[in-house]
Amino acid sequence: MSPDKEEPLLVETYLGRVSQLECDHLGHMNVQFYVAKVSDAAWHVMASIGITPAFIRERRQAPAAVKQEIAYLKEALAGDLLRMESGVLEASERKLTFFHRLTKIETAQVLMTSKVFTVNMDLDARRSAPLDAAVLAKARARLLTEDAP
Amino acid sequence: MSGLFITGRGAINAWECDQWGHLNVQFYLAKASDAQALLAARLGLVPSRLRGPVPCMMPVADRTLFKRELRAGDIYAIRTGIRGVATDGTLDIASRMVNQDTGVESAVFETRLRWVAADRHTALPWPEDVLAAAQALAGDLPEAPPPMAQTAPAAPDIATLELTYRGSVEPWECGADGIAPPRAHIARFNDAITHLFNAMKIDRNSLFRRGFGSAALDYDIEYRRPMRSGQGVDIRSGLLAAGEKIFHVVHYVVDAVSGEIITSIVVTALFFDLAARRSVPIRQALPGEAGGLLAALAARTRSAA
Repeated sequence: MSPDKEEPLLVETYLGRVSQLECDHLGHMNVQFYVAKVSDAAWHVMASIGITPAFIRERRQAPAAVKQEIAYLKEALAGDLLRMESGVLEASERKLTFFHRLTKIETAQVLMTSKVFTVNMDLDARRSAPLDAAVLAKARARLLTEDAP
Repeated sequence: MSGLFITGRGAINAWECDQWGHLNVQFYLAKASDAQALLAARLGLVPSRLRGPVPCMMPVADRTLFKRELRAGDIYAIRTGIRGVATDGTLDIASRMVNQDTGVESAVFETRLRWVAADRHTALPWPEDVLAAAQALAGDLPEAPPPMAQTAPAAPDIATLELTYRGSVEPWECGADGIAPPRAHIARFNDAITHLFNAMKIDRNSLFRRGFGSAALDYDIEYRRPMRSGQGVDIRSGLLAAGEKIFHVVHYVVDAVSGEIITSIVVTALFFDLAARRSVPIRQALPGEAGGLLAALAARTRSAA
């Protein structure tokens, strides 16, 4: 399977704004909300390889995060407009690793990069399960290359 | 539509959903507000230009149609475009929220914004660069929805309406300028409807146990004054009309001290079967006394107007 030529390997997975509520006493967005935005972005990047909301509800399986690496590179202030782009770094029978990059729209500065390591989970048995073959094939076809991030 | 561009993208979280199992109305407006900030940046109103005691854009009116439910785990995108810009400082925009998995349109937002001074109330003409950018971006947009069948009485006898909410505006609900965004208004309307239901002898828990829920279809909101951090506010509510399935409610957010109207909203709503996710006649959802009270309350609200 070859990737859709129309769709870049890094897809836009979040577009929003920093709320005053998300800022702490240091005057910038608190770290927990970077992760919240990665979480929002995750559902979009999963959908880009076939793990759509409908797939999750029907097949009762989805990737669950088991490890996350984050680099906080620049601060975000209340009112800042943010964009997340995400893609697939690694794919194996039960595991997917996703890459996320958060950018401040006004300056194009990269504020955060993150790798999220996941294991595919059976939502009823609450145990790991093999990835759907079509999903795995699409993930492998859409793996980020070294220059893509 | 060539005049619409992407202004929002995200996912629905479980904590944004209510007891009816779908995205609560306040979060539609929160996501629409974020989309408006993306639109503002396109016009040159980037965040760094809007920080501090400087002029900004404030919503004047919002028309929101809730067309399809969104549930936890759904992914969405919002597209926004400009319908028109007036040199006196107003901007009419249209936003469309789409379930990105199904492609189905879930909400329609038609919003009028106004350029206001640092006091967040005094109208100003647009800066020349913003006006030129808005004129250049105005394009082909989806048709606007027709006017709602019911309108909010402009000068109601507030005291005769039901008191359905009393509280104060918290700083954490507001922006850095201490002004509450549309979400904070909607969250209060959402609380108020439960008390209006109580006045109509409708117990939401009983409704839920019998397998019925209530849902808003359409909002027509007028923001008359800014709602500020620390302000004490009441909501006065009434029923404007009730048909076989649809009913119209009006709420006014009023300053608890001065009694001035801050916001008015007319809501078109219905009851629905929680399993079938389909609307039901009011008489089916509200057997007995409650159904009969609807017509009486609607008449009382009209006389208060």
